[in-house]
Amino acid sequence: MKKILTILMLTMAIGLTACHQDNDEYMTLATICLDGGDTLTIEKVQAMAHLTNLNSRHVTSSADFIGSKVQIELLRGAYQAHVEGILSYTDLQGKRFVRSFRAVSDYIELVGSGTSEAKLNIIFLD
Amino acid sequence: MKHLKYIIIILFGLSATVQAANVDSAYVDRHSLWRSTLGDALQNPAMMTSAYAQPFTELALQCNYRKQSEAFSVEQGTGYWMPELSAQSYLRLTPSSVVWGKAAYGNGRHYNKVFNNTADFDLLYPDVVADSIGGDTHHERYLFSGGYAAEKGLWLLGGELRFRAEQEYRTTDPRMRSVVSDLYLKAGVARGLGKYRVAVSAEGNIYRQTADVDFYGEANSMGELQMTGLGTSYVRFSGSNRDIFYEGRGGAVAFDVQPACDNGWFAHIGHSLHQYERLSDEYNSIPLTTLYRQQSGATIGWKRKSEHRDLALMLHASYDKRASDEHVVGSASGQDYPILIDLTMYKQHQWDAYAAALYGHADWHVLARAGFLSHQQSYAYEERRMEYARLYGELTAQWLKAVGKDLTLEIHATGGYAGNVSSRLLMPFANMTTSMIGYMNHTYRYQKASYTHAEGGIRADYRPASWSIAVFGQLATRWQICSEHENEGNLHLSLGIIF
Repeated sequence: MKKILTILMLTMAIGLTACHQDNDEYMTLATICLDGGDTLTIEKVQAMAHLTNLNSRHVTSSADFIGSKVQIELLRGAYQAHVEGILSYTDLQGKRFVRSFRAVSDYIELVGSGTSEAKLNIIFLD
Repeated sequence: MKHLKYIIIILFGLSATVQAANVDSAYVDRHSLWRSTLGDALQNPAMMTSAYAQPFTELALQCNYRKQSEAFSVEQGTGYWMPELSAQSYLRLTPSSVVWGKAAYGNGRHYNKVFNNTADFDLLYPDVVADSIGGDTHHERYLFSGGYAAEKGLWLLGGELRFRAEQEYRTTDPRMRSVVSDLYLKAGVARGLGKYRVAVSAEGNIYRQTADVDFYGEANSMGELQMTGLGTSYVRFSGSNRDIFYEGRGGAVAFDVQPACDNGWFAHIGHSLHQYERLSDEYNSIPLTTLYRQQSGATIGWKRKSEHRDLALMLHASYDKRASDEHVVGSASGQDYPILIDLTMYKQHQWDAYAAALYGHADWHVLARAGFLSHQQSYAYEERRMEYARLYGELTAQWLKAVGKDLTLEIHATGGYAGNVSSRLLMPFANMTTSMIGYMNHTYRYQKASYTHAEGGIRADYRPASWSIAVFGQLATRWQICSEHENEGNLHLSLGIIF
């Protein structure tokens, strides 16, 4: 009988300490990097990046490009990405161009705890 | 309020005309307010060996009716009509062992439920399926429970099983149908230690609900929202994804101390943890959300019962937390959807603390209760908050009286007030749809309100000496008035036999 009481007391102690651990790390600093391939080097970008959270359809936008990258703090999750604007680049011969471009992805994962990174391939519109 | 006044006048008028006689001790045992001092101890099946001094079996047909002038909580509708047939029994097998059981069947309707197409809203919110149309629902419920407890020297052992099967459905678009099965298994042990009994119990629970919504009218078809709390929804799997199911499990532990003979200190500590996973039928059973519910409560008190005077003092505190994890689902590979991460987006914290005093003299008992309730809900991103706090007080008086040799009356009246002391609403209204703005404003309107309630009831048991059974009838009414100028009326009627 004492064993039963001990087992029940132990069950109770475990029960009292077994609580759900909340997952409170909501945000990630996402870096979206535009990729033009090996034949060109992106120097400046003037474009608007829109990231749509697939779960909530909430859209986060930014135009603060530094070189070919933009950093946005957003909710960790799966996203659709859309970047459209103008960029300047140099080719392998060092010749400079300014052209309109678009970079789109239906699905990118920005789920890193702290930071995340995703690469988008660009296409020129002209 | 006028009706209530008349009822109270009739009840007290009746009380003045009755003749003095002693109430049967078994009747007092079952119906006296003093029973509340046993509190949650009787939730431990081991303590059922001494739950009632006399065995009894009761068969009853009862009806519960509620009508609100406007829904205080739109998800639960403006009221219900729920007739129920029930049978319960408590029998002593041997001088040291008892069995008890209950079976009930109810079939009724709920009125004007909106933003909730799932049964067991109290259990599962905020993770429900919803739309802004809603309507009346049919409700059918089966309940079975039974237990056994035995005394062996200083030790008491007990076990109990409870099963609930329920279905709720609507016969017009949107045709929701939820089928619930809910099983509890509990074991308890207690031991006599001097003047006291110390008891522990452990409980396991398995829960399942299938919930789907259909539209028969071609023009009526619309999307259903997989709600995630405070007006948010899991947009990716909302819309045509209308078939879901819930898988739940959980456990509870409790510790009790009770004086063996109604004099001394008593205490109860309980803790439970349940989780309910919402899965999508149409997306290969992917889990969309998991709701974690943690409830803790503690009561400490002191009581003394003498021949003519009863006194009990109680302090109670409880904490109820809900945390809903949203599972962030990745890109499908074939039919499999990977879960990338879990985020606890919705949280609810509720604290409740009260002090109570129970005084009894002869056939009268008076229970006074005063407390504080704080309720906070939040959604992480975009940030949403809804909070309120209330101070409340309540006074209940009960009178048990034998009228002659054949008739026994139980008459009670309650009055109380819960006043709002603080409230707060934070919503990204600019990014919300009109219907969600209306929904959240309505919810907040009634959460920050103050409530006044009054209740009165009478039960009469008639048993002539030549009869082996007693017949009884019970009538009770409860009125609640909200500071938002809306009100609620409740009526309870039951008829039955007891032997």
